[in-house]
Amino acid sequence: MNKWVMIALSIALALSFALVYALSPSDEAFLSRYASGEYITVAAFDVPLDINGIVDTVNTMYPFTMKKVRMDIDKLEVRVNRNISGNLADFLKANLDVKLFFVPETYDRLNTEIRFPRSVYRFSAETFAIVGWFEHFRELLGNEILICVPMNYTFAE
Amino acid sequence: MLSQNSRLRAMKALLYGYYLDFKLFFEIYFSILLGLIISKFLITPSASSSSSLNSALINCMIMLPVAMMVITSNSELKKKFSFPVDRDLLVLCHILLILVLPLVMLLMSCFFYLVELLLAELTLSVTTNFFYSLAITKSSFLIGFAISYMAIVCITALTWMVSAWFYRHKVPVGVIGAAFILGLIYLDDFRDSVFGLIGRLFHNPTPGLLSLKLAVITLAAFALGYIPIKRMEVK
Repeated sequence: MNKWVMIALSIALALSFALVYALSPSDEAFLSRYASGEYITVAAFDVPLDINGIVDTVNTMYPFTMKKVRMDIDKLEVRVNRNISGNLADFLKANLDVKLFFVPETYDRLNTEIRFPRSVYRFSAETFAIVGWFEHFRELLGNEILICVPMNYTFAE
Repeated sequence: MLSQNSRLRAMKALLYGYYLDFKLFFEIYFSILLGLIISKFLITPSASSSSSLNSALINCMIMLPVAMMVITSNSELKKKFSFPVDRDLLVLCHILLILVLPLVMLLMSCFFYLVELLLAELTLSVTTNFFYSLAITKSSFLIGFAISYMAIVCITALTWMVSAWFYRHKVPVGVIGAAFILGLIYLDDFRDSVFGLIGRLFHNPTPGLLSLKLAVITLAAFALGYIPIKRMEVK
């Protein structure tokens, strides 16, 4: 191969590395995108607040990543991050199918069933998976969807 | 001085020979990454797909060990011996290849990552049910690149070392290797102790410590792999 072609290819590869680095946000900027204020509620359900409830099952939100959190709220909420490219919040508001099932008699245990009736595709422009070995970088993966319950509820799983 | 110049020229020629040999290798690697991108965005988009950076890592872990098995074979090694190329020069070239190939492959994955971002933006503008998110930061990219490079170099060096021994001493290495694999499959205690040892080596690491451990293993593999090639008989 021509020497100049090789040099051009080498420069292109080095530039690619520099561009990926330049386009990536800093740790602080990334974490601020996934702060609790950056999530929008797409579904909310009234749940009894005078019991110590247990959420038995929450099915996976595949293809999205999900985190279950307890918060100082009075409803069970499904929240979505507003910084996902594409209008995910509006899409989920229109298409998300969430059902709650209470265990009869005691009503202190409930199951959630979440489905996407329409096909949905997700691409995660993620870094090298090998950084998952390090605790610090595991926090830098972000969750697209939050399942939030009031503080008097716990997750069984 | 004259001898040094002659060795340097021989090394350049040897590296150029390897460059020609590895052209096809890089064409295959390029095609795989390109094919993955095409299938990811154009043919049958899967519900969730990972980035080129990860696909490249897996490809490197598979392709480079195979390449090392090929270049350490008797027939390939003997093709490279022509005066003044000797065993030391050959091993040096192999070490350079082990260090450079993963770097080029990982840099290529960065290029494809940019292509993916571009395609993701394009897909976003034409469909309503496609979403993408960035799960990368400056530090996670740099550390990921460095650790991936070290890990690939380490695995490639280990394969090179095992292959170098295997082609020179097929029966003993074959018997020991087969016994090791059978032990891993059938002996629970042996398997637990091997995985325990690996777990202790890589338990709760910091990037620096992990790099150091991988570098030590790589250097040991280079030293051990040098022995059988140094001793090999060349007619």
